[in-house]
Amino acid sequence: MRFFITLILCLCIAQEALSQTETIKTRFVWEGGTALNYKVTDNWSFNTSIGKRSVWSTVETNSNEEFEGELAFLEFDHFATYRFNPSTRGSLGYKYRWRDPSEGFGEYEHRITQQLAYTHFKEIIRLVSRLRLEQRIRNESFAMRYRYRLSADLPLSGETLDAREFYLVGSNEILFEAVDVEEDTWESRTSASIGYLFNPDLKLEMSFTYRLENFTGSTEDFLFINTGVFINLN
Amino acid sequence: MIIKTTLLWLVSICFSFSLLAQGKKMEREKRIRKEEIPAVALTLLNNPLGKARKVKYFLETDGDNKSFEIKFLLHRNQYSVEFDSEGRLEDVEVLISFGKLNKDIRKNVTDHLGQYDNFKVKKTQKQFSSQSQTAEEVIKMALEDLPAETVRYEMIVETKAGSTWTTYEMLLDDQGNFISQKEVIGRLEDNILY
Repeated sequence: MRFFITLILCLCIAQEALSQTETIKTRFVWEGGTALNYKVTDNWSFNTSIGKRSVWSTVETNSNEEFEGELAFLEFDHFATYRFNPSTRGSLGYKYRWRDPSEGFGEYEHRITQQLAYTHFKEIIRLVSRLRLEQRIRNESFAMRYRYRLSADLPLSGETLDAREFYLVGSNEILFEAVDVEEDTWESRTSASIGYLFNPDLKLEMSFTYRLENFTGSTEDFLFINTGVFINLN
Repeated sequence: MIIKTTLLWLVSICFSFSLLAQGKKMEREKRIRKEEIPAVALTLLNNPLGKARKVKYFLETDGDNKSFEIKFLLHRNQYSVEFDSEGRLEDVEVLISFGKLNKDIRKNVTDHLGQYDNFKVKKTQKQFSSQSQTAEEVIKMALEDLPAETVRYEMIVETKAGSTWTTYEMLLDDQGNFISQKEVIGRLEDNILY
């Protein structure tokens, strides 16, 4: 009799264990970066940065719920920028992205960027139009990306941005991606940021970005939290 | 892996903060409330401020020096009135169009700027001040565009020398003759460019 009771208990526990399902829900994506900006000549400047992306999710089972983060990539960026005049900048950039670092060194991405940016002021609001062309090379695919972003920033105290003051940035970007092995997609990225200028050479920024991917097809949306440290070495 | 990269990230932030140790003398302009402006300054502007729109109050600090500025829109003109830390009038500035300046003044300015390969006048302000006239008289002359004892022009000019563009704040006399200039350092663009 004791044997049967033990057997039934064991079967119940096993049944419970087998019936546990795991649901993963992505809560947000965090991108962090540190960028160094330095002037090489009066008109040429370099911008070098390192960054990472981690995906934070809740993993739900029948009996448990855990909050987990997974590193999606580490990256290195370098841009060389030429100032044509006080309003217009042209840049060439290269990015190396180490994808899925937990899987070893197998997944890579190279990205070559050409961009043109035009700045103008509407009273204290600075507006920047940025047109960007990218060639993205991954292990399995090649993509051409066409991007246009309109950004606006303004100081929150006074008419100039001085040390120990906050500032706001808002932007919207439209991105068209033509990939050789998939269908072409359109994407929209809307972002709101708050930044703090510690001194003329150092600022911190935090932003929330809402990404609407493939908005002409099977749409997916994500919330990104971005944090950045910007250091000026001049 | 994720813990290591997060730690690396935090270390880089700490490294950045160490840059804060660098002491630099910094100019600051800060928006303040009306109550923080010296009462004597507010009394001087009591009449025009009653009819003005978009009135804003600022505190400017430059090391140990402190001054106050009141900006307002009156009869479609943008005025900026500057006071010292005690509320004594320093000058009154009114925003004007470079193209509407007297022809001879414009010629003197462009003759001076002719030394550069190219230039763009971005902003022009007419500045009224006086050593002998009372503050009330200077304010009245600025508001009615009458000739005060000292009239100067303050301009923001982008200049090109060779392939390099530099922005200056230039001070010119009532005839448009150059007095002095200082370089204007704009907002950094790294966060908005990449």
